[in-house]
Amino acid sequence: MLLDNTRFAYATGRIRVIERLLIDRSGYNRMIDAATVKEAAEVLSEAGYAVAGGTDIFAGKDPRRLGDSFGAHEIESLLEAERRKTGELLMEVSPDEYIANYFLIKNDYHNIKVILKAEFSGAGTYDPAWLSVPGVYEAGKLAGIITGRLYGDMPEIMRKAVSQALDIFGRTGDPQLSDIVLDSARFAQMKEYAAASGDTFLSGLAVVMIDMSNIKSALRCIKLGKAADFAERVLIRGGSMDISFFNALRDAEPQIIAEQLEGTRYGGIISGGIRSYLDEGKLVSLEKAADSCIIQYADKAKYVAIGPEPVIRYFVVKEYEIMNAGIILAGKTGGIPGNVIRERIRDAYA
Amino acid sequence: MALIHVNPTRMELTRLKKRLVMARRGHKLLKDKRDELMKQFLDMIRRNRELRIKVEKLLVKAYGDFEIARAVMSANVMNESLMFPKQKMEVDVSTRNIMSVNVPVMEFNLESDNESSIYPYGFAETSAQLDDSIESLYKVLPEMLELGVIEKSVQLLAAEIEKTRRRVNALEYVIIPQLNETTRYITMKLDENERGNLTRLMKVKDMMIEQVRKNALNESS
Repeated sequence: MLLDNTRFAYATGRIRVIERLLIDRSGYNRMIDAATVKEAAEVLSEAGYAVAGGTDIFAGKDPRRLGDSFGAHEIESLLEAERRKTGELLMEVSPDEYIANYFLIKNDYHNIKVILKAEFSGAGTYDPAWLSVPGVYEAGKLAGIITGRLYGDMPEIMRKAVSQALDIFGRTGDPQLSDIVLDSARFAQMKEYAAASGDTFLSGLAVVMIDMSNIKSALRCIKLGKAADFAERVLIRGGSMDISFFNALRDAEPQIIAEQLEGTRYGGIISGGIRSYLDEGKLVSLEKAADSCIIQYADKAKYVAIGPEPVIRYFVVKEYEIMNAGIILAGKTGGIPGNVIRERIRDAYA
Repeated sequence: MALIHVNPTRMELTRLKKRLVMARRGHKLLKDKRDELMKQFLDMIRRNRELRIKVEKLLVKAYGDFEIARAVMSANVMNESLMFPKQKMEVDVSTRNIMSVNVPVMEFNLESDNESSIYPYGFAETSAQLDDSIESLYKVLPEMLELGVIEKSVQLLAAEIEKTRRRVNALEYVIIPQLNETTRYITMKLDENERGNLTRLMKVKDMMIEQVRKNALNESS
């Protein structure tokens, strides 16, 4: 199925207006160089943060809240509100439900994990604030389906994943293995939505996201000394690199690992991250490089005049903008030096 | 030094002397106990200091990694990731006797010794920084438990040393001097009584001699 780009005329226009609010490199620099957390948060305020559903979530509260009392809880509330607002905007502007579902299904799988872990713990209850909204499915309905084992309304991939996660936890008592099953299913479903949308750009994005997840997971498994069968489960199918490629890295010398990964189509971007991991044993730089790959892929849509690509690009960049805001505010609250914060933030909107 | 209010009798003197012997023995024993407690206390203090520095260093690292992971991951994903633990641990709490002080002993057993099986979350949504933080916390846990045991033991030993020190001081500066003073007083009092009796007897003897002498004079006249 091919997409009719003109269906995205309104969405593209709306996004072109909104994307002017995205924070660019100078905005991040202003936040990092701000004297106080309050000043840093003001940049977010200019970018439309803290306004959810047309109302300022902090309206009517003590203005000093942005002073010294602007702590971790307030930062989390602010960012969670922005994630929610972004999700709602996506549902509103996207004329194609598959494109919206592609981005929102992550929240559903997160909610499934919360519901299942509450069940595993025996308590059966969880803090509703831990659920991510909006999702493709309403969180309450999802909880009803899972606790009642009434999987009829679920898509095939999700149904199988939930059954498998319950089964694997029942046999092993290991929440990590059930998470891995759900993570694989999430990517499979994202690929399915991308294919259903008929948009090759979105399908390409799914492949890049899977590849990046696999590179990070493969190196994490090597670092943590995980067994081969575990690594095999963690790796997501459907990327551009075969699972056997990652399996071969397991017992390879560090230099060979670096050369093999640098030889992939992402080599130019992730090379520094891999070298940093091999030298220092830290995956921070690699995680940043992996996110850069995704952002750079999305940036290919920068000059597309009309179509789903500008919408997709906006939501990819927005997700990383919220992450960057979290890194900067948490860094400033924790007194982390500006240069360290600067090293950690992802590529800016340009 | 105030005297103990007792009757200055020979019986009381014997009783007080027995008490004095007992107090001196108790004083020596308590002094030995205090010295041994101090020795144990100083050893524990040194270990406590070492552990606290080590634990604080490890915790700073763990929380540093955790802060970075929190910044990169959303709060919801973080809460969900750590919602249900993978590793289970049993802690057996018992006590050990150090110089009649019952200090706690904690023994813990992990369900699995495999260090790589402590992460209760999938890798797709989480940051490797969280692994580092969890690993640091995993490594610091035994040290934290030992620190808890040692800090509690130090508290209990300190309280016992304080109690023993008061007892030693009370015996050394109050009870033993009081008993010494009181026995001396009773001895003096009994000696005084003895001297009074002797003087009285000598006087009676003189009077009797005088009487005998007078009777002899009357008979001769």
